Amino acid sequence: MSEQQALAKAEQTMSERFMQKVIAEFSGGVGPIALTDFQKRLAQNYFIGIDATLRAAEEKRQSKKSNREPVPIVWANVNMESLARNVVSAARVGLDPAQKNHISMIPYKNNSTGKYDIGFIEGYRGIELKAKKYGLEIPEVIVELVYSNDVFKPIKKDRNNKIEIYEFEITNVFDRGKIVGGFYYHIYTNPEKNKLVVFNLKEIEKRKPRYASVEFWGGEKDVWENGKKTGKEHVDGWYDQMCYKTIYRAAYGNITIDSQKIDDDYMRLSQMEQSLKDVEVAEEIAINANSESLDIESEVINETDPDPETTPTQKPQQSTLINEEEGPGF
Amino acid sequence: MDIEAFASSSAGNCYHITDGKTRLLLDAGISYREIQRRLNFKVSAMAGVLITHDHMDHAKAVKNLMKAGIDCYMSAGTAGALSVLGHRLKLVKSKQQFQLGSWTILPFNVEHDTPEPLGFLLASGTEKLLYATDTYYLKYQFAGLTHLLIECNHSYEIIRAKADSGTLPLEQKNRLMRSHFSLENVKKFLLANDLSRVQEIWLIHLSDRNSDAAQFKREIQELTGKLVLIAG
Repeated sequence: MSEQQALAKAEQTMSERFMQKVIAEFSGGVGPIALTDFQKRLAQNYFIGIDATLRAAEEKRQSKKSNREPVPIVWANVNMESLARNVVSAARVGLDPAQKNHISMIPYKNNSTGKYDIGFIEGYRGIELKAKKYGLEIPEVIVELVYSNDVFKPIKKDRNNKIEIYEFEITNVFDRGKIVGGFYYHIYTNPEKNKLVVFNLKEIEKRKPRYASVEFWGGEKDVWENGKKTGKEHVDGWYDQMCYKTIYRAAYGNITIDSQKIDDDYMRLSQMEQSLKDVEVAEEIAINANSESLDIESEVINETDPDPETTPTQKPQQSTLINEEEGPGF
Repeated sequence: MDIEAFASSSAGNCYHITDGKTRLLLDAGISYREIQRRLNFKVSAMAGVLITHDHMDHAKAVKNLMKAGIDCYMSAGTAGALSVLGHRLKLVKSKQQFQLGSWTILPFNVEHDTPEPLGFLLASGTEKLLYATDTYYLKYQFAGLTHLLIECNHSYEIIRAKADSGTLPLEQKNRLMRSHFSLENVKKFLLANDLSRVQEIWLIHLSDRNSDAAQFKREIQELTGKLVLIAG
């Protein structure tokens, strides 16, 4: 058997193993069941998606020169039990990795098992789908970005105005200027429940992922040649689209969930999302913490006043007390 | 070196330190009147106040201290967030050390959800104090420490259990994990540092709801074999 054939056989076995596990989870203790064509196709899509993710992650692992994770990111090192359960939950909710922005996968090392777990990250369409499935009352959702040449005026609900609304006009469709913010608007059957949420640019940026890709969000990127940094280049990215998706996520993420509709699948997806967040923090800390030595120089650099440029104001007034506000309590 | 915790919790943080020559306050997150009371109304005996960040549980009395003629040292980000100006405001930068009386002080950047938060490494004679609070990890290792005032806000195990049971909102758990030092990460920090000269480890800023002072003290004592004190 050639090396290629052997590899194909091994992959086939892994695919079969994956499907068997998923079918077992779908049956959920009620005996063998036949998957519908839709369920089979979904399961296959998950296999294909995870397989591609594992290959990409393993390539990245192998290319690392230092701090390389010793355990290869391959199917043999994936926790199949937990993966099969998660795939079934995500598939039952209707999340399909073959659909754009539904769900994506990321492998991460579980230090207690020494194997890789596969984290599922919901895209903005995935969040919409989940909100529609589990929402208490599903509003119609409008999401818009606002540019400097647009006219936008929110009209908030108050004693005289029963319905929250806005005025929005694109004055020049071909030159809308710079993005200044955005909003989402929930329209309910009872218009008095309509809700407008406005985001300025800072609030959008606040929701930007911690390690947002320059390819998507734009910005400066290191240029490497022969393993050495040679400078930086500007990448345009898709800033407007990322801002739009950010508000879109918030619009559907803020739809109240109907607690009566919450099922095991919803709970499992929520737990998975949490575990992934915890892992992200742990990884960030593992990479950055306690990594640089810092000490006081024996020779003092600045004497007493570290920055003489601070602006002088009035003389101290011992008796004037300022109202001191409370801080955040944790 | 003498350390006294005037307050240490999410309600307020303020520590008094002296090397016998120069007296300093570390953070001022209690009312000015309370600071006056704790200092027997000798506020002017303070050579300065080092402020880590702008949250009110660390900076509540800043404006009044400045009005009382006390120099307040903080980053530009913190000063901006507090909207303070004046000749009592002393801007400091991460990794740019300065002298304040008999103390040599090195500010360094920490990891918190505020503009330009700082920690401080303070040296006087043969003693060296690390003051690090409101940070979910420290990027740095420090040599020759003799005293530590280090945040040990919560235990990951406690907040995870609370979040799982629904008694701690997930948003709050996620924020805590990205803004405050956990027992687990403090242990990793201590293991990464040379503690051979350490005399005292003060665990500070323990959360009222998400910590267990006795457990934290015991575990850090077992790990380091040093004198561990719980502030507050």
